[in-house]
Amino acid sequence: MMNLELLRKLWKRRRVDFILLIIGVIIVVATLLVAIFAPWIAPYNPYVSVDDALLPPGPKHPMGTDNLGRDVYSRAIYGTRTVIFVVLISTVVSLVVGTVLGLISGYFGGSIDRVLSMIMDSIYAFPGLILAIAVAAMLGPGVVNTMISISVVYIPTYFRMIRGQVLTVKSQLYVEAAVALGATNKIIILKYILPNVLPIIPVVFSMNVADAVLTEAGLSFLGLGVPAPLPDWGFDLKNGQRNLLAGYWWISTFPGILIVILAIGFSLLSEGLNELFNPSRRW
Amino acid sequence: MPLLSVQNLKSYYILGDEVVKAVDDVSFEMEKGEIVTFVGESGSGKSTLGLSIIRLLPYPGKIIDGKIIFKGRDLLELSEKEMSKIRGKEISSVFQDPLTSLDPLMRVGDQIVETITTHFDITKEEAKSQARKYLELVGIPAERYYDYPHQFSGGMRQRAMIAMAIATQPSLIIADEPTTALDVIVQAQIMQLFRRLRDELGVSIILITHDISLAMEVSDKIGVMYAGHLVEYGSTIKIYEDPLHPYTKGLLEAVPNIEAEVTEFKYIPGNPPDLTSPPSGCRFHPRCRYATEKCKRQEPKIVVRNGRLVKCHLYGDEA
Amino acid sequence: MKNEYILEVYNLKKYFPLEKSFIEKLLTRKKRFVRAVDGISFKIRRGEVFTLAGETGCGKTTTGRLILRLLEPTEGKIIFDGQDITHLTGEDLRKIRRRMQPIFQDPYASLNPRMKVGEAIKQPLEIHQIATGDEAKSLVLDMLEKVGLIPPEKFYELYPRDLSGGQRQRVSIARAMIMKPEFIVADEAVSMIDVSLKAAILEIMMQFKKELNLTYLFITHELAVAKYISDRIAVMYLGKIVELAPTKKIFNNPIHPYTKALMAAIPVPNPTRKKKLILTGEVPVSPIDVPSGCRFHPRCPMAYEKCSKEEPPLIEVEPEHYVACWES
Repeated sequence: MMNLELLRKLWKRRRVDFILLIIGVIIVVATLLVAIFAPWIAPYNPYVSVDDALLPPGPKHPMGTDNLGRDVYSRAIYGTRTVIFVVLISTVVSLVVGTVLGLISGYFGGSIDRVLSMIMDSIYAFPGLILAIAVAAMLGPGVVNTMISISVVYIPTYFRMIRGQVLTVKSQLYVEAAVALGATNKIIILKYILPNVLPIIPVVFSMNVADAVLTEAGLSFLGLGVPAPLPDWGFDLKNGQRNLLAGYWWISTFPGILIVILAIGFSLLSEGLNELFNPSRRW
Repeated sequence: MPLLSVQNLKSYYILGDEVVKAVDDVSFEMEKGEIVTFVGESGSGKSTLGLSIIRLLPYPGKIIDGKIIFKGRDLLELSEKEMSKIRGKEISSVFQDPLTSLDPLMRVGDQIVETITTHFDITKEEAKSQARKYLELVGIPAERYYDYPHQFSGGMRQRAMIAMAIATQPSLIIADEPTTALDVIVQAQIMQLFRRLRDELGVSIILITHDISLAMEVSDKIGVMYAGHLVEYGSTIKIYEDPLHPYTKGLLEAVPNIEAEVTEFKYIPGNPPDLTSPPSGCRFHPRCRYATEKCKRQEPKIVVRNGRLVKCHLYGDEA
Repeated sequence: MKNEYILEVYNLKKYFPLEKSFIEKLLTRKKRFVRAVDGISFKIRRGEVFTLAGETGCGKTTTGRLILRLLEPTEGKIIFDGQDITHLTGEDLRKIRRRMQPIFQDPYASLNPRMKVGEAIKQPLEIHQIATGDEAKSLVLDMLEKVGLIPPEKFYELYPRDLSGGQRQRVSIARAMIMKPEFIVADEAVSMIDVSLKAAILEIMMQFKKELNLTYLFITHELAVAKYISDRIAVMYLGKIVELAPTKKIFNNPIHPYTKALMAAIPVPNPTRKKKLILTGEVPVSPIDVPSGCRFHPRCPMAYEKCSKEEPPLIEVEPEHYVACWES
């Protein structure tokens, strides 16, 4: 599968890409670890007031406190849980739904394909955040609704990628050979098409997650995401906004930076994986 | 003085710590007005040889060592600017797939004109009339000047490429598998065209192919390549009458011959060589019926026997 | 009760519709087709090697695909062992598939890159429920040895990318033979194999022929290779059969002008042979606009008026030797 041979090659030939990949991996893994060990890392309870409001960053509160006296640092740490939970589940749902539909559409073609493609293209035509906003506004607040909004946005991405890949694989000689052997549709899909389509998924997935992080933050920023008092970077970004002009910069800035870092992390990861599996230059 | 003298040419593909010795110490000489064909199977290095001569090796290929002396000058010592004056003018090339070598958006005739005006300082009108002349020479009616490549058939496209190649009045044309994608009848026509170019214009041609029957029919001299080595090189007739190298012998026995009475299936046992880790000593030894211990340990030197070059221990080691 | 003819093909046609541009759709009603196979008929006897020969674009590969039912015929009939399989589908077709197998041209593309060699060869056994588990594995190992991939245990675990072209082709052959078919369609099976190894692959194919009592439909543009193994040869041009005869007869006495030109053009590894080129011109640029009457007439040195008007039928000029030409 993902063998060390590929990694070694990347290290030898495209050092910069290798380093970027490692940076991406570090960021993602660090975020995951923080999310898992949040209760042990965070010094304070992020839900309640623990001190005076609007305290600047200092020894007791490295990122200061927000307008309700909550420790920004602890909220940032617990925020990883929200982001990982919401984003990962949504994108996994998108992946599964999009892949299955893409497989069916690409393999069987015909009217199913035409109808599905039309629907998917229409959804895809909307800018991600706008669509998420529309769906979230329809569904109302709540964690599950947020997840639904986000997954809807990304289903077409997987659908198109998988469908395209299925069409390519379907036209390959070895699939024709399988048909000539007498294989049933089920066998062809499971053993011939799927294994040759799966390799692109990790790349698309990590790219997706990067985007979804931003979408989730955007939704929360607009008040359409996870409900308060759940610690959420997007929410805190919005929360600190009204105090910015007064000079209380730390409430927005730290969550904002973290959003960017996580998004970059996933992007680097996806670029690195792409370079690993589909090297752009060969001889 | 020979037209082209290649000495100890080494062209390798290097990526990280992986090295493919595609052309490994190849030397030969070629006179003016000859058709020389390099024959080889997959992994022989014949295409790399052709590309090396005009210094068009794709990344990650590099010419590591050797001399390519063309008309008295070592091409490997020239700057890229000087080389580009020779490439396309004195040494032209024709590759396998003319569909991708011709500009689909430009009329065929105009492409020939462009080639001419790049290398010669003449008026466009003059170039146009020359272009028409060359089209006729290769058997394309002059009216087709105004056609686009997609309106030409495969054979005609290849002829158009040849017209472009001779439009600069080169001394040498390098043709790499020029007829592989064409049907047999068209192939025969193109080979006839090559012979005419040699006889009427005095153009020398290096032909690169995997088809040994074609090589034997068309060329004055043949170079047999195996795993990056030139294992036999000399006059076609001599090689036909008395093939020296065991690989040459094996090839001639294995090639399907439409005029021969067939008795049994002949082939060379074993597999084509892996150029990332070629066999030790003589690279052909795992498949050679005459192989000895020496063949496994030591790479044979090139010797001259019976008017040609052979790289095999069977013929001694003194040049 | 076994049929003398394992395969019969009657007036087989395959037309591919051309995609029209938008403007063309508006302006014309007429549909344009590529007439890849335009009415061919032949019968293959059990146990023979029947070759379909011709240059690119003559329709031989399409014919092979039609017979394998990888394509639907536009017209005509395909009879396999007395059964009409022309429009067969589903389970019935799958039962036939077990008896009729292909070997394709491209050893690099005909194997699933994500399937180990052993897996790939085991596929037919699983698909047709011939054997499973250990029994299947031992059959596969047996087959690997038969095709010369030794040691079989090593090759069982390898992926196609670890093998050379010739080795991959052997895997394809093993995969086809393991279910003991009766009929093999070999579509340019050795065209992409190095010259020094072609005969090795042919030898394996002929060994299986003897062992399993196979019948071969051999499709190739390499007439010299066809000469090695065929019993009868049919030469195709632009979708039709122009000459059909036993191998010896067709090489000693080619009658159709195209066959003659083809044989004269094939290179022979003999520098002392003087070659005379009979033919100029080439296959029409557009395969859609097929010449009227005899398709070969624009290039034929012997063409006369009738040739451009009427298409000549395939007639028997001497025993077993059929030619489609007005001259004969």
